[in-house]
Amino acid sequence: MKLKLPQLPSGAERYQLLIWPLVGIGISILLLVLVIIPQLLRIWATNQKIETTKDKITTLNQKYDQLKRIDLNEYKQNLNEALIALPLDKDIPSGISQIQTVALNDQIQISGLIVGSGTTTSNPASYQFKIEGVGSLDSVKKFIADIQKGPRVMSLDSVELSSGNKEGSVYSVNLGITTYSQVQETKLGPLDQPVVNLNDKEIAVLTAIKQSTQNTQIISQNGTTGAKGKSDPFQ
Amino acid sequence: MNKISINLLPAELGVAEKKQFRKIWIIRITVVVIGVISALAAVALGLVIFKNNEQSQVNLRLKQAEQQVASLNEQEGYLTLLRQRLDSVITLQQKENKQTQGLSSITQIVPEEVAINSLAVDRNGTILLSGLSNGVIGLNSLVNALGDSTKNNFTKTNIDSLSKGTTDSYRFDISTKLK
Repeated sequence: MKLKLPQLPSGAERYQLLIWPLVGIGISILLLVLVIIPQLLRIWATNQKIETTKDKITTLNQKYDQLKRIDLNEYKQNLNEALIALPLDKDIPSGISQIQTVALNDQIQISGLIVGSGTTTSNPASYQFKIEGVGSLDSVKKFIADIQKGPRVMSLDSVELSSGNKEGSVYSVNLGITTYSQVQETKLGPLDQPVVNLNDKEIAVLTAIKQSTQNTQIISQNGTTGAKGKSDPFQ
Repeated sequence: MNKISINLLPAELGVAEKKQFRKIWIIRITVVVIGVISALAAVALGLVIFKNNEQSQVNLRLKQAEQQVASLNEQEGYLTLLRQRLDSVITLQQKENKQTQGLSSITQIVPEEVAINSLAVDRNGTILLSGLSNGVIGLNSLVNALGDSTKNNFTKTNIDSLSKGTTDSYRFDISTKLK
């Protein structure tokens, strides 16, 4: 008996079964690489952007609500008060005014008052008053305390006390008092930067300034009281 | 009695039929896979369009919110300026003032028997004290008080000069420094 062996498929017929899956896999890979993966990445990036933008919107809405509550007139008034404490420029009249008012209240007789040139390079800028006066030790101590509690920020730089009479009840006093000014920086941050309201400490300082402005009436360029003139007559 | 079936079809026909069956299934599976992948691609594209629309809407809302905030620029400016100024005032007020402290401390520790003729406190906290003591006890008490660093804030206390007067009085110059 003659055995007939099955014939092997030849040419295209041999790979006919492989062609379809290969084409299918090829198309799938192309779709994945060229369409699906890039689009998914794009969706992810867009989602991130949307989330960031939503956060910004929330911040902006909160900021808007906060700013809407601000009474512009009240804040203008508050800024004026703060500018009495620390003016934009030297405002020498307010410094002299504070010294004279406090001296009068504390019974110190001022016999000489010199205004120094000060430093303009530092921030805040400062200049010094040299005061010569006469008064009792208690008056001098009260004057030194009160001058630093006045509406305008002042600090004691030097003290020289000498007895003016034999009993030692009257003293001549030479005081160096420094006061300050600061140029306003008007830069505002980015729109989505959150608003920070006045904290307790700032409110306390503002209240103290208002209180001292009422207690010690001074002439100020920035303030609401008194005449307005040249801040630095030497310039 | 068992039935006997005999396949009289040629064997090649059976092989060809099996081959055809496999081929049809491979094509079906391939078409299904391509269909699924294409559907995924379509969904991805659809999502992109949806997300782009969402982003446009969100951007519009952002623009509106920015315009709202910008309209209150003046309020923000006043608040910022006020805060800056008050913070500067706080910083200046917090500066340590040695002169006031020195004057206050000295006047508290001077005993009854001592009269101060002159007192100078400079910006570094150096104190120069001249006076007259009625008897040595008062002067001793003052020097002890200045030298007692546990009770007072003085350091480097020094008697620069001391002279006895005609009566039992002593003239002195003392220098000291605040810690």
